[in-house]
This record gives sequence, C-alpha cells and structure tokens, in this order.
Amino acid sequence: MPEYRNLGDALRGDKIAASAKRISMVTVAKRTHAHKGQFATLRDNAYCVIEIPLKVVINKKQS
Amino acid sequence: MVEKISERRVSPIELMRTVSSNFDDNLILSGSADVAITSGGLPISIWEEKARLLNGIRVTFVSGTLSSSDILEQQNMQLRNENLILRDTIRGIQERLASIEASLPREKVIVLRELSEKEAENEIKKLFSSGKTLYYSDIAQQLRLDLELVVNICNKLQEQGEITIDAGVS
Repeated sequence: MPEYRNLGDALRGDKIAASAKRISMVTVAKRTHAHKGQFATLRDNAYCVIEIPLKVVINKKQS
Repeated sequence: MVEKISERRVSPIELMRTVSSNFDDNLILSGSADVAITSGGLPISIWEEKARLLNGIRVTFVSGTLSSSDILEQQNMQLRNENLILRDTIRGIQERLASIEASLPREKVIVLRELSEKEAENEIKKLFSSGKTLYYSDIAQQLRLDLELVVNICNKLQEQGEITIDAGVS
C-alpha cells in the first residue's frame, strides 16, 4: 500500500481514520446552506488512512 | 351580571401579600424590571395597580408609619424578589451551559497498549473471528492499538488471504 509523505500530497475518501499527537479543535466551515463541512489540523507525526471494511475469510482452505 | 366588589383597607404589607399570593412570580418580576425599586421594595403605585387587577378586590392603601415588623416583612419581600431574579438568572446560565456542553466534542481517552507485532496480529485475528466487519479505526479502538500498526497487520493478513474487503458495505 503506497504511503504519501511529500508536502502537498492529498488524500480523499469517504471515511478516513487519523491519528496525531495534536489535533486542532474542529471548526465548522459553512459555504452554502446545503454545502457545509468541518475542518481540523493534525500536527506532529500525523497518520491518515482511507478506511476499508474488512471481514474474515471463512472458507479460506476450500478456495 | 353584577360583579361583586369587596373593598378592604390594608397596610402596605397586607397589600404586598395580597398581590404576591394572586400573581405569579414572573408578573411581579416584570413589574420590578420596568420601575425603579424604592428602598422598601416596589413602589406602592405598582402594588396598588396589581391589586386593582385582582378580580373582585379593590384595595385601598392606608398610609401611615411602618412598624419594625412591617419593615422586616418589607425587606423579606424584597429579598424574595431578588431571590426569584437570581434563580431565574441561574436557570438561564444552566441552560446556556448545557447547550455549550452539548456542542463540545466528546473526548474519549484510551491508553494504547505496547504489544509485539505477533501478539497484535493474534488479537486482530481473534477479533475478526467474531465475523464482524471492521474498519481500521474500530480495531485500533477496540484493541487499544496504534493505528499504523493495525493498518500494517491488516495489509499483511489481506495478502495472506485471512481477511478481505467486505464488498457488501458501501
């Protein structure tokens, strides 16, 4: 799995898990009535990953 | 229909008692907010006006010097009014505090465990054996493990064919 660590690298996904030493307070960003989002900054050894739903392979030996 | 009106001659204290027992607290407070409070509490004119509004009672104010018990009762009434105002203010502050607390993000503290990669892998396998569909963050939170370690182990398990992406979950 590639790991992007260059300045300016971006990540886009429906669900992103993140960990960092410091996470800023969440700010609500309003653009239009229907279009609003939230904003936060992760600092110091920040790590983000696009989440994937995982489940166990039950019939591994048969396949 | 003839309205029955009883006329009573009362002292300022009796007047206050009559009004207080017939009006709710808010009405008395709203009267006090508009008019400057005199040293003896509300101005007599306010009390008389309130008394006039009472159904069937016409109160005639008897002027005269106040006895010490009357002064004490007058002060008591004033303190009760102040108490009501303060209680109202505290209620407002409590409501505002509750709304602020509700808007704050909930913080949950977990202490991460220091496990070897092998131990962590075994625990992750055990967690998946329940048959649940899990995200990296679910595993990290439930097992109290570092997110990066969880991602690395999950990638390894995916390559080994132990776990796979659940296509049923969007």
